[in-house]
Amino acid sequence: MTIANRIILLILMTVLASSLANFLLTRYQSTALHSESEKILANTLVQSLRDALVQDVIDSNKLRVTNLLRSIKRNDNPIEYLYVTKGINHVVFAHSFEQGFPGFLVHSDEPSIDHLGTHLSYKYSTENGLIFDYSETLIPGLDTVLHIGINQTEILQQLNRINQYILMTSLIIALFAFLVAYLMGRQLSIPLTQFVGRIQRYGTGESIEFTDLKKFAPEIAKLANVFQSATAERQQMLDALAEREQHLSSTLDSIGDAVITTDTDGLITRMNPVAEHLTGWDGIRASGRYLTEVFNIMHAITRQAAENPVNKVLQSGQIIGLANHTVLISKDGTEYQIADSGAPIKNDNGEILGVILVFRDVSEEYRLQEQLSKHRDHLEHLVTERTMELQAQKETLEDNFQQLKLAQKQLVESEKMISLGSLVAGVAHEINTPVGVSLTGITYIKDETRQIMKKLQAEKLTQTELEEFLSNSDKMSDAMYHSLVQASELIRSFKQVAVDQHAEEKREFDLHKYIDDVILSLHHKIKHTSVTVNNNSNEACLITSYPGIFSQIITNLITNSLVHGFDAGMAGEITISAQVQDNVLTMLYTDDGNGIADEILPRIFDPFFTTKMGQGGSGLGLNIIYNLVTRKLKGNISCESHLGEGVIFKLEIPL
Amino acid sequence: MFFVKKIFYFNRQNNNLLILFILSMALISCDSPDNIPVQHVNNEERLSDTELQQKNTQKHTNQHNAGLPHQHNTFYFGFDLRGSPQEDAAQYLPFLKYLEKATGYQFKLHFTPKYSTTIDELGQDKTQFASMGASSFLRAQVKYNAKSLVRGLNQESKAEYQSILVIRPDSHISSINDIKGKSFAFGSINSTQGHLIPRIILSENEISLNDLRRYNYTGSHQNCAEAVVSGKFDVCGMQDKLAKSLVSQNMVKILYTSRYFPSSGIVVNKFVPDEVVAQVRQALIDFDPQGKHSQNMRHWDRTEMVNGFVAAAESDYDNLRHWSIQLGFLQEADKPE
Repeated sequence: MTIANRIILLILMTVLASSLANFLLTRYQSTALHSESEKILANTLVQSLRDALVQDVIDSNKLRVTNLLRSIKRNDNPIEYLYVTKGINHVVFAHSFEQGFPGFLVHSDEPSIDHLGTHLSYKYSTENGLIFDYSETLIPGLDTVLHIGINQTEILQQLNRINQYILMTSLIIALFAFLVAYLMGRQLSIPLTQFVGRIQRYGTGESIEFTDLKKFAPEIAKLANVFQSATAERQQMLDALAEREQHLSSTLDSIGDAVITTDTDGLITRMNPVAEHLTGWDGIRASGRYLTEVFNIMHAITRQAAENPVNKVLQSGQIIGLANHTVLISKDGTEYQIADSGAPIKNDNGEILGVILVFRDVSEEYRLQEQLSKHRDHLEHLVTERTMELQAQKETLEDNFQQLKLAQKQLVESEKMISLGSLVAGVAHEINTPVGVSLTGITYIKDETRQIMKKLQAEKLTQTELEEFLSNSDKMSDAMYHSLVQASELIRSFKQVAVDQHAEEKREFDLHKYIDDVILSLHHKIKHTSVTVNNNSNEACLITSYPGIFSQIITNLITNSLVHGFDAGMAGEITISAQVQDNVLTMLYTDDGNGIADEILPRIFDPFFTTKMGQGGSGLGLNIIYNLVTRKLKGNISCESHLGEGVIFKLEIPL
Repeated sequence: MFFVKKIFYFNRQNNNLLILFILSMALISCDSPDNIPVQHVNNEERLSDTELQQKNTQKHTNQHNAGLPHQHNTFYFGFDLRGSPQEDAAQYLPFLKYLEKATGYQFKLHFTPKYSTTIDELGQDKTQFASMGASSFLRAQVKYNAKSLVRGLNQESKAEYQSILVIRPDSHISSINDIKGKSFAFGSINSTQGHLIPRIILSENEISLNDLRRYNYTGSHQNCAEAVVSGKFDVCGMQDKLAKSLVSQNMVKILYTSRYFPSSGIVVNKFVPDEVVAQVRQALIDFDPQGKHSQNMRHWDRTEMVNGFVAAAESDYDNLRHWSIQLGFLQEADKPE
């Protein structure tokens, strides 16, 4: 139905409803007014008759009351009858009927209720017409009631006439309203019709001008403005959409994987060239077809048709992947091993609009995968065999390693014993000289003393001989004293160093002095070289640690320098410095000997590494130092050296 | 159906139309302002007065056979009309409502018809209770074995009243002795204040009816006063309250004031069960028209029981009974044992 017709119908219905309501309301008001008027008439009668009637009723003046009622009825009015009842049973006391009292007015079951005011009690339909019976209790408490019957015939006729008049008026108004509605509808529908035509064209995508519609009513002009703006906005959006579409299309076509999109019914909406190639379908021909028709997939091994991925996506609403071993049968029968995934296309509200299917040809990968799988199995077999062999070798190696460790231990002990032996030999050698001097001296003194005593006994001793004897004895004693002091000092040092090399207990000692003792204990080795050993450590450097370990470290380092750092007859200098700071002892051991070649520097702490193999080097010296520093003293040791530039050993030991 | 759908389609668009439609329907349904059905009757069936009387009698018989009224706890209370029926009813109805509330019984108003007396209405059981003066009670007691329940308390809370002889303000009568040879108006012949007490006054002053030029019974205190004010009679014997009211309006002046006599009271006939009598008597004694029961009372101060009631005793009426016998209103034999 057109808007114009709707407007006409709407106005017509409004007017009809309004007229009907008006008619009914007027009719209702007329009836109510009439009813109220009647009630007022009845009430007025009651008020005017009340006193006279009550007094006569009280005095039982029936005749007077009857005459009064009849006189009222005789007047030219619609009153049909009047009668008075009294008492609890409403016995008829007097009435206006001249031909006898109507039987229908005798009520046997009338309740005795004092009504306040005049009210309509009964409605009687008689041969004389419709009669309304109004009644009112004349005096509350006296049970005297006046009934007034009013004939409605004339009033109803008048009401009907009024109703007919109102009905006619309403119909005329409705007709007029219809005419106005028709004209207005037409007037309104002209711009609307034009609007509709343009909007229909607008709906087809055509670019429409609405500006000329502004000449109509302000609402139409406003609407035209809105549509004009909407047209411009739509064009902008369409341009943007076309651009995005083009971009999307290019993107899809550029994707190396095949892409197919469908709507929620599984009908294809788009395919990219890769998809066209793999399916063998032209995108335009495939569009609108069911996916299952174009995207024919099955299980590579069982050859059973695979489940439509679109259905799975639509059911789950989530991204799904294809089962393994899926084969796509192209339109020309070519089979492609494919891997793919499907995902729902959702709008901003999360509603699914369709499905996008992305897949690619993995035939080559699949073939390689199969080969790889076979190779892997073979390799696994080989690895198992090799593992077993290696296990056997490992066990052998572990045995060897244990033997090696034992040998190492024996070597270390042997090294220690060698060191100790060397020490003992050195010390014995050193003591031998003063002891020899002392023995020579005491032998001389003994021989000279005997010679003097013989000469004394023979009384041949001269003063000069005695004085020479005493002088020589004194010199000899002096030499013997110094030799014995030297020997005693040597023994003390040896004892201290020897004991500390085996002692494992921590104790407090003066490091400076201890270094001096160690250097002294090595004197027998040093004195045959042109190397000078300097103790630059801080004096009175008291620390609590393992002095034997320090002895071994310093001994090994000096021995190493003497063996490896300096060639025979080569002059040089060894310097040992030490200082304690923040409970960390830092020792620097330097020599200016041959230095260590760069390529072997990293291996100097390795066990059994020596450049003097077969020349007395065990290859354990620095390894022992390394182990003592890192494990026993929980410190660290490093070495800097270049060939020809000497060495610097730096030891950092927490105290 | 299509049309209906269309209508509702448009209604959705226009709520005013819907309202109009509903209003129309409502008005159609409310076409008739009341719910009284029209009875189709035969107007030809008429009852003659005799037949109507028979029907009325039958109704009355049915009522009587059913033990109505007071076996159904409904009692008629008789009063003499003082003013208009409407005014008197408005005055007494709240009092009857109080009694209904206090006793649980129903009380109906009954005014004594002109051609009967409160005494006869009570004796014939047309009323079961009645308000009457001492003179009427003495007759009712003699004639119908009526009992006085209570006596009314006046403005001063006394259960007694007086009669006053009034004359015109310009009258030459200056003392009661001057009324010999004058015309004298009484109220009702059965009235205590309007007849019995004025007769006692005359008798005590040794004035007989024969000493008067003429006398008449006007039927009420109001009529009696009218007779003097209009000049038809020289003297009127009337109730004290109305007389004082007229004096204050300078309508009359007082010639003579009697001593006090027992006031009007409430009387019950012999048919009312004792337990009802007891309940009603107690309710009357408890009646406090100036206090807690003053609400809804209308012009109660115009009655002779302004301050309620006090229980009546037989001896209260001895003096009046004596005078009634002496004046011939009652026979000596009527004196109760």
